[in-house]
Amino acid sequence: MQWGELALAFVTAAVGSLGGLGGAVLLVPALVLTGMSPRAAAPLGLVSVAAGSLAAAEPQLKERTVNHRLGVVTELAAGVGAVAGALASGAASDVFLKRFLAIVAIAAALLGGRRKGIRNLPDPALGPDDVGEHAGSLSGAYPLGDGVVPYRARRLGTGLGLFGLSGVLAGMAGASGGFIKTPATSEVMHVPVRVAAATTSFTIGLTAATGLIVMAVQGRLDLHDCAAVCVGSMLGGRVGALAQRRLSPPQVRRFLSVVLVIVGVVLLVRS
Amino acid sequence: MSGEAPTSGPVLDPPPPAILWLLRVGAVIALAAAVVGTFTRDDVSRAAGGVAVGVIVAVPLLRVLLLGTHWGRRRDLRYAAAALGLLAVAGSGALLALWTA
Repeated sequence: MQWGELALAFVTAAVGSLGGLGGAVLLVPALVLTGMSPRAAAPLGLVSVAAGSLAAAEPQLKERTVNHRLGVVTELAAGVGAVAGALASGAASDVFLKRFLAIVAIAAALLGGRRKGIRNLPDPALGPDDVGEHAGSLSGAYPLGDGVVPYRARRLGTGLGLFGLSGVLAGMAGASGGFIKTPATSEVMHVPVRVAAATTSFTIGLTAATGLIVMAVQGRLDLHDCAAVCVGSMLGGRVGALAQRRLSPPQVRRFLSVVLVIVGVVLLVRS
Repeated sequence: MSGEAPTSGPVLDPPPPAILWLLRVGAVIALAAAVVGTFTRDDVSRAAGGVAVGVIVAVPLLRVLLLGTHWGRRRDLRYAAAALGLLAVAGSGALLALWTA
């Protein structure tokens, strides 16, 4: 019985689901600090992301905050970038990559943290039946309190470029990139932060699944440890998703900014 | 691919109900298997852990496959193609990583 891993996975998955970041970027360093090798901790990080994503998926789907079209399109750009990044791995040092990712995380935190109020406001003409994603476009509406807020992804070219870049960096550094994807969706594409977080939770589950296939074939999975991390992450992921529903967008954004600063500092320390 | 809404006004398109069932059943099986894997030892633990990992890997891929099929049936072909492209990229990424490992 691995109580330490289970508890760490619970906390990091709850934080990850709340902000749409995935918990691996916090769990892996924490496991390394407890004495686990980075090579053994990396697959557990992916298990945490995939399990947390699965646990958060049902409440997010019921609340209709996930925009699947947006997730698929942006993940396609990130996936192509990740393959390119994997091919180019070795072109930049680990230290450079970690420092660069740290700067990106802290910049994203400052960008989101300095913004006040809510960009997308409820439309009185819309009701609960209007909540969901729209056919043929990257738009939709989500529930906020008693109102319904319409949104549409903007600056698609810039956003996809950033997702491609995040994929390249993630592919080179071996990270899921959730801490870049959520702020890029929210702050660059002007998608409400709760929709951005829920959509990113969906896409990073896919990224983690692909990585886990590779690691399983390479024989890098300790299935007993994976089971403990899976339990902790599923419970934490569900708690994070339910907590996200109760927070206002500025609260989620502030929380996200704090976590991004922590992520940035962790990356700087690890580099 | 455009971020613009259709000129005839937005039409809601919820994901197919099968996705909710997939997520619900997948989460229950994965959690049950992971609990068994956590509280047992040796072969039972490894088998249960394997089931948990298998489910958390399969569910997101099946979700994208269901979405792509649903969008294809609704003639939302750009997004159906994007879903299939995403599965192809995920598959090729895994193959590439295996090849270069």
